Amino acid sequence: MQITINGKATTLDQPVSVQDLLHRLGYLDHFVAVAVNQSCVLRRDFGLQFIKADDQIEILAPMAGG
Amino acid sequence: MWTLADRKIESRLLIGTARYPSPQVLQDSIAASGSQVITVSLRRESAQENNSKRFWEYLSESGAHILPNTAGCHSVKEAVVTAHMARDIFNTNWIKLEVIGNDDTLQPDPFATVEAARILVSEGFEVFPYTTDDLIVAEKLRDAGCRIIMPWGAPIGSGQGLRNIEALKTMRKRLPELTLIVDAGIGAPSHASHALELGFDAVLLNTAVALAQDPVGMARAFQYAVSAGRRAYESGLMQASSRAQASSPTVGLPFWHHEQNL
Repeated sequence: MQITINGKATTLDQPVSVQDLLHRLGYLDHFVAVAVNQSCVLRRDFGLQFIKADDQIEILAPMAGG
Repeated sequence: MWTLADRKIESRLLIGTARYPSPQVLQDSIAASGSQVITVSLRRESAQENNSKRFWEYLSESGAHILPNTAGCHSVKEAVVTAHMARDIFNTNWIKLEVIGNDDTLQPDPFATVEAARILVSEGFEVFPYTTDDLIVAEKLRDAGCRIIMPWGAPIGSGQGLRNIEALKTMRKRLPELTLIVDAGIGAPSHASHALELGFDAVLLNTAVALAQDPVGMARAFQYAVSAGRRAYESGLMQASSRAQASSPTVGLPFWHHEQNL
């Protein structure tokens, strides 16, 4: 199934949780926030929410800001 | 000590963390500024980069209050979602609300800012809205539940200082119950001092320190300027006059020509 991660289209061979998706992508010890289809997924729910076809996923990290 | 959103802090300088020449200069500058509130953002990062890890470690060790922003958002939806993500990752209900209306001027969209503020306040956020010096917008933000308003001095990163002093004075006079922080446009310590002299509770700045030739020295200069400005405000500035008035006593003037003129 097709999904979009940080603006880039990609393919998943099976449904995965947000937690599993992060691990697959290599976000291992990263401290990130995630939104799916412009809705925040709380960190405590990363293992509970599953990615569906056509989902738009944003993975954001703390950065310097003014 | 003063109270910012129910938290007791000493410094009236809030400082941003962007555009410093190195992480070490960033840390040294913030330490030199004496600031206890630092602003941060959320940005996309690939798994391979992980540049945020060191930044996150610094934030955790700094002991400062973290004020996440919604910089770069152009709609109510984007700002609200970004605020939700910031609350989750930074574990704070503070949010510096920015909804940009024009990419060239970085002028805030006042309509979207007010709407987003209303939503976020209802969800328990302490909203620090970035706005212009327009009094009516500030009043709408107050009516939306904001206890803090952050009017610009000038466009973000411009360093132009306080471009509309009369509007800022009016806002301070008309909204005495709110915490008012001049955010954006501060370019020199004198600008910050002036804002505090006008009765603003604090200033928020970033570029003026980050892009200084010596950011650490400039951070220290801002610390002094903010303290001086606040002390001046509390001490009561003299009224300006259109006429000159001699400082020295006029009784007993020593020179004879004054007597001739009498």
